Amino acid sequence: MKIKSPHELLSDQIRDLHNVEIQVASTMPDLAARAHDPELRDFLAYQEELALAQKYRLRQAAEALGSDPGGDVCKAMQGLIEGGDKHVGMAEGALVTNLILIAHVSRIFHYQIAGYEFAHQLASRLRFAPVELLLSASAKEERATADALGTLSNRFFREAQTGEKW
Amino acid sequence: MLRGTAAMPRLTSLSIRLIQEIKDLYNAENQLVQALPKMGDAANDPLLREAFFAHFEETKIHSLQAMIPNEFQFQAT
Repeated sequence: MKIKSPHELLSDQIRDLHNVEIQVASTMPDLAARAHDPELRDFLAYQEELALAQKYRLRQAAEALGSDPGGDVCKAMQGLIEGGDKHVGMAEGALVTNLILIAHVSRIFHYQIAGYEFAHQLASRLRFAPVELLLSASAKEERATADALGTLSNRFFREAQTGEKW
Repeated sequence: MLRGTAAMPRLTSLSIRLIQEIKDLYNAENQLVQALPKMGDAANDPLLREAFFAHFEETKIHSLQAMIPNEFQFQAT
């Protein structure tokens, strides 16, 4: 498929993000089940709900642009999930497992932030106000999620400093 | 992202985990260095094109290499 205009590029980016959210919603329950900490487990489990809400928003954005959000598979997210899963599988011990989960989902969140921020900027320049609003809401949520993960990870880093030899 | 990890020992300490993280970044930078010239060739703007050929990533690769003790050195990518 050729992308010939900024409008088509925006639809393409939304399709990519839509598939990203499907993949994220699917992987988060598995990751939550691997967590050795109730707060981290709840945080990861909540990501499924968030991803599904964001997926619905992307459907609304695609419809506003007159396009179909389905039919795309984001290979970048497939690779991120596959690579992260491999590392999670190598983990031994509660603290290391929790830290690997954090490293893994942090990469996922930052991929999403990059995607949403680019799409939001493009929608803004193209003056698609309803689409801009939908993308802006998800971009803010992703930033807040990454910040919350950073706060949560600080506790595990403190445990790493005090409880185990580096 | 790492090659040959099937033969790697299971992680038992945070220091080994840190080395794994740096190796992952090292491999990511190597993949980026391979991809950037192709993106540069595809760019239709001189400034954007220049940014893709700026070679910042090679510097990061050398820095990552310096962080790892010899016995844990990187596999070729």
